[in-house]
Amino acid sequence: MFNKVYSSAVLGVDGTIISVESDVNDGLPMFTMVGYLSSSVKEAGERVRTALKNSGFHMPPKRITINLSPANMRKDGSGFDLAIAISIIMSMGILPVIDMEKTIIIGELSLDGTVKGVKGVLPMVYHAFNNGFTRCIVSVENAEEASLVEGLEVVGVDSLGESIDYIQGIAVSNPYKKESDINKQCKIKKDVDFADIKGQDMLKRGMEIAAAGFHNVLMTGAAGAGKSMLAKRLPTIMPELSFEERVEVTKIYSICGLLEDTTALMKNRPFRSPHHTISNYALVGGGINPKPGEVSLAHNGVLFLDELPEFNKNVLEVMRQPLEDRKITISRVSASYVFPADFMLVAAMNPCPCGNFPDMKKCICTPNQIRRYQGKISGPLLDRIDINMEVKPIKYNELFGENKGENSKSIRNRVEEATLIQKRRYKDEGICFNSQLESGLIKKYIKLEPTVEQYLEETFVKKGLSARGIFRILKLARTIADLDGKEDIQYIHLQEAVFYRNSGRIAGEEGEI
Amino acid sequence: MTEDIMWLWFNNIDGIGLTSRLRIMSKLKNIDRVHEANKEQLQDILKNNQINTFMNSKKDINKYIELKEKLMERNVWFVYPGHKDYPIKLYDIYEPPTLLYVKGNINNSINSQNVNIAIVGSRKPSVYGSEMAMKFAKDLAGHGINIISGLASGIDSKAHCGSLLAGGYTIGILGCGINLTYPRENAELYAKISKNGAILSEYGLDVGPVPGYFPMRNRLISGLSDGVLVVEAKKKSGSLITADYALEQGKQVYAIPGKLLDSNSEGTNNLIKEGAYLVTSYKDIMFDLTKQEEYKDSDICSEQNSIRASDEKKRVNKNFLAPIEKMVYSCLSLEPTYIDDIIQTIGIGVTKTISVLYTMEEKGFIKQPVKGYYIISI
Repeated sequence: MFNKVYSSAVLGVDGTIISVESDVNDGLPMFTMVGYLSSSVKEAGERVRTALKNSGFHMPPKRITINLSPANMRKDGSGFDLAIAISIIMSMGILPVIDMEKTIIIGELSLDGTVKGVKGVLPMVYHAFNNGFTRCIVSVENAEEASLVEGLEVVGVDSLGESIDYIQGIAVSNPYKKESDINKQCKIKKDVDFADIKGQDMLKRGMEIAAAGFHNVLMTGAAGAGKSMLAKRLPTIMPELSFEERVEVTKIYSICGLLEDTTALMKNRPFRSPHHTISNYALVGGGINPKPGEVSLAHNGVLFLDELPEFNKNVLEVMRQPLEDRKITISRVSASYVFPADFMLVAAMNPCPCGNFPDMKKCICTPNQIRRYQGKISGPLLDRIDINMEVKPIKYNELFGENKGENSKSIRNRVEEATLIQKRRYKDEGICFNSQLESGLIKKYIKLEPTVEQYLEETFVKKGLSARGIFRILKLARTIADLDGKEDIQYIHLQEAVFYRNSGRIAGEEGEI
Repeated sequence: MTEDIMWLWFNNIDGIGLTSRLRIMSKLKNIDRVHEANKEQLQDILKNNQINTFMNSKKDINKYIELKEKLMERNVWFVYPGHKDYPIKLYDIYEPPTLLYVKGNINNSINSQNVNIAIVGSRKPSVYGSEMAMKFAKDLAGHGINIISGLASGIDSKAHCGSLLAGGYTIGILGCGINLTYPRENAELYAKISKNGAILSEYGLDVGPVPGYFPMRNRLISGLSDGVLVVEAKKKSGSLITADYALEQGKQVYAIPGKLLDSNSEGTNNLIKEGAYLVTSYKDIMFDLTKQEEYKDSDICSEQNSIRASDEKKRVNKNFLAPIEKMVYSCLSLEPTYIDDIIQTIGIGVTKTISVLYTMEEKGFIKQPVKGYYIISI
């Protein structure tokens, strides 16, 4: 007898529907699974058989065939166990065949029949819901996460027996009642604030601009100057995530099993700070079945790379494409996976190996060493950084002085206002921030006062800027003008943009002779 | 065998150093006689094994002809005592070099009537030191004085830069072979000097930088010049060796004063204490050299002011600085000031301060020696 139920797998960052077909028929007793399966799925056979037996179902000595389709897609993971088990039971004729067309089943089986949770439930059920499914059966562990999709009936089950009971309608096993509403606030870490940072006005202003326009930042300065401290506080002044963004971010975290709070969509912008020993694949994503890397985990948030020159040169270069395209495409024989990677790059580095340049009394490096150290960051990467800032260690009286810095909330208010202006301006373009403007749109949206236009031309010639350079300056100036609430970009905005944009290399500019 | 090949040979015998060469020369007087010298003549100067190498080296004379061709290929030529372009000033110093490799152009300048001033100092100067070296070199070169220095990093390269900027003639004296660019970061400067001046070395083409060679090189720096200006030197700086040589050779030593507690200026301040000529402007050096009244200007304060607004155009403009620009200008000195400190002192907010700084930098009143740090432009 033939039966079909539905399960789901993660492909990239989205779910995809997998139909689980089973056929129990006369013939030599055999258990076969087909459908381009990875070994973890093949092993499901053993788990399902044992779990069925331990849940009180007798496996008949018949020929059992399982097919997971579409058969051209490589399947990985353990989330199909429950669907396979239910499908077999239905094929055996133990259960009355009920309509499972609109139900998606996700869960891993343990040998005693317990249903365990899997990673990536949110993108799977989200996709299923968008494709007309109305109900999902998942492990109790995953029930909360699945219920983040509004309008979907979520059934959280503990064991295989319980799920059979539910399907039979004997004892409706307390389907997970959704109490959390979609806007429930995720716990917010309140322990960091911009008010903690004393002095450093220029840096804070730079960070404000970066947050308002989603511009990339590089901070250069001696050890202990507060670079990391500042970067960690950046998410507290960034505009809030929109609903779509929250779903996107939560989906990625779900796939990686990194959701801290499964009862709500993520509210905070991600802040990722990988160690500098990170590999290419860990940064951009990879593997036989590609998983998102740090650039995707930082999607809609901040990717903070501390000690930038210590990163492997290759690792930094692979970031160039996602920085430009705001997504990363990973190609495999079986499929191409696209992960979103719209992150703000915040990097920090020392100016020289000993970290004390430009304090020549302390610095023990030769000019050549300094140049080589700073040369570790390639030109193309530097070119993608809009805001370059030098950080100087703060003085004692600033550190212990009374005057507190401005707090994150009031900075964030200004940032939110500037973001609103941008959203309104770009509502037809599908982007939110100035930094995302394609060069074709720059003419359309960026207007200069006539005198400023002339000045820009002069700067272009004098500084020998590249086309990319001038576009980046314009985008940055646009953000500064937005923060100022001005329609057109004025001279003063452009000056500030050029100031921040100025090439990141701070040493070795002899160039006068 | 021609004279120049003989000199090449004489200077490239393994195991016979400058001192031995000078002793041989003083005994035999003439390179031809050196070439024909027999064992007995050398007995009291050289050891036995040295005499053997001396004698053996004469057999392989083709090697030196090849060496000369190699030098020509690389645009390097050489002068030796008696050569018309051998610097006359070097005849007067203790242990004059018996061969100088030259890259660039010396035939019109090295023995001309022009005054040579050496500018030396720390390899890791403060911004004040760098700016001063640049300024003095520019001013002196602008008055037709040749600048001599050691092509090291720091003050040396600033001195060369300043001279080149003013279109002057400058000589760099190396402590290693002339084929080497040491330190590496000076490659560009090296190329420019060999075009607009000369690079000298008494060491063979590919001799690497050995610490012991640099003090020896310093005797040539002072030897070639009429006075040595020490810009910035720590307590135990190589520049002080140059100053010592200068005194031995009877040259004037000039020093630029620094702050008392500044370790970068400890050496120069000590020099002044010991009687070096304190200079606050290129005019002091000009006056010392020429005794012309027009350069007599002992008022340090007015010197200081003239440093501040040396450029006539700038001085005119400075009066038209907006009040806020004047405020910013008065915050700055030759000590690099971090932008945040300026922002906090002025108190008009980040954006406006950046705008003011930017405008002033465009106009050339201030500059950033290191990004984010400002000094006044002199």
